[in-house]
Amino acid sequence: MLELFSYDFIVRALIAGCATAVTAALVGNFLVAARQSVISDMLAHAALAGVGLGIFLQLSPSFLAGIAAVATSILLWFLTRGGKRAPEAVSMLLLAGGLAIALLLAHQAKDNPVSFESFLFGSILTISQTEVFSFVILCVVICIFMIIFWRKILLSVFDADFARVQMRHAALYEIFLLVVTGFLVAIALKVIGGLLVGALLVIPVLAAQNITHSFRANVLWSVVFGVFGAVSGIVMSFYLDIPTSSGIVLSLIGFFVLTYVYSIVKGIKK
Amino acid sequence: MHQNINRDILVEARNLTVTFDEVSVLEDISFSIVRGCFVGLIGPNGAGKSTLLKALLGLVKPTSGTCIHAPGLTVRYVPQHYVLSSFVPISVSEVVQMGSDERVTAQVIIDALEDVGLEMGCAKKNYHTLSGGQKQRVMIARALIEMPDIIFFDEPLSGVDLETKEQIYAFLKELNQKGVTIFFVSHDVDHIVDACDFVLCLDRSLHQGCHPVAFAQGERIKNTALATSSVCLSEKEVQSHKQVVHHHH
Repeated sequence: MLELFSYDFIVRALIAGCATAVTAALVGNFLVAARQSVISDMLAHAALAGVGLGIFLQLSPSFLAGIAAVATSILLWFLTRGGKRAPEAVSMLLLAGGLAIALLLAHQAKDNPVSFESFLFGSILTISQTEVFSFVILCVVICIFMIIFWRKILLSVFDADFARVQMRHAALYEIFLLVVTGFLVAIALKVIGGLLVGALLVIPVLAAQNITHSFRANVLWSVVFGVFGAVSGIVMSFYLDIPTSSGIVLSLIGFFVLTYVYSIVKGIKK
Repeated sequence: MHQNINRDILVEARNLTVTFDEVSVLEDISFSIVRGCFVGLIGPNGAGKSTLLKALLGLVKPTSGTCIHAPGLTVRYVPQHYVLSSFVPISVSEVVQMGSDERVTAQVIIDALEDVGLEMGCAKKNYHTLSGGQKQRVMIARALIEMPDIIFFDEPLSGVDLETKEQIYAFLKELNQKGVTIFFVSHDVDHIVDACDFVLCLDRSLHQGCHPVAFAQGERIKNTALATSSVCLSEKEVQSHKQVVHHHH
């Protein structure tokens, strides 16, 4: 088992995977509470448009993915503010638009050595040292801000009207959560891929919900499940020669099934 | 929204009109809420009660007219339904904590829960496992935690059993006597007349001199002995001639 750690690419993958899993579980709890889980998928597709642009212009795909995801998160808030349009419908528009632009740009630059597929399905085992360093820094910054604004974000996602009465700039926290999700999704493209990014944000939260009675406990347990899911996915891909993204997602689903069965056996709820 | 108004007036609606898609929901509403009073708002379904409340809270922008809050006013709100997503686990103490901008101690939360008649053991329970009455008590505790100047209630006791309802009305009266101003929207006419100092009757516009009981029976009494310079006052208020809710013609 320890031989695993003698490979630098595995160590890099474990660090990037764990950092992303912790941050995704933290942010995912607020997204699920706000009933905006689908937004992670939409932002991932929008980020893919940034990847396509990066490949086309031969600039950093990850950097442009981040810009595209954050810009789209602000656009989503602008288009849906005040209940003017259904958020899920606008998300669908942005999701389809993002993917269409991504495919178009990737097609135009098909001779470019950077693989568009690695962002679709993730390629955590090919992650570079610089990428690990920048991903970890970004994850730490996101986690710090989420913890600082924990109560305010929690209030704005749980009870928007109460938040607007109590806080002068309640809408800022709604935008903040979307922007943070945009950054996180851009990181997760390389880790798990645009098509599976939602799994990292949502499944650990669902698994924790089977066994917890408070939001704080749910965050802690979802972080645990997220980290174990990332680690077991990477380990499985090494020993069983399976795609890492599949390993991570299937591990997370395994945790959901286990906690669900546990909650039934213990009569915890549902 | 904040302007200089009489220091005893906490919230003032001036010629408030709200129109949605060219349909008039509120028409030319003017009244003031003075510090320390317990004001009820009643009206039939579709009368615009929730819209008026949201306009007073700044959640709905009036088409014309203004709603003014006294400077530095702390406002809290108890919603009509348990708005918290039922699938997300959240403890009672986490819900109560939401009422404060700053982190509060466990003791402050326990005190707030005890104030609304809940045991301290409740604090760690999952909010969603409580009964309807207990959930609304928690929502009231959340609104109370920082002792605001005024609390707005949007039909908070619909679906709550009679005994709990009476306990909560008694608690709110007690709270009002401690100096918290209360604005209470309800269709529960009997309790409103009993609990409130003043009652506003709304059916898109405020009814002149409409008695709440008469309103419940579908009658609109105009130009009667109850029609005073104030609008829609309860019998109790008319008798005592207290002029706390002023109607601005």
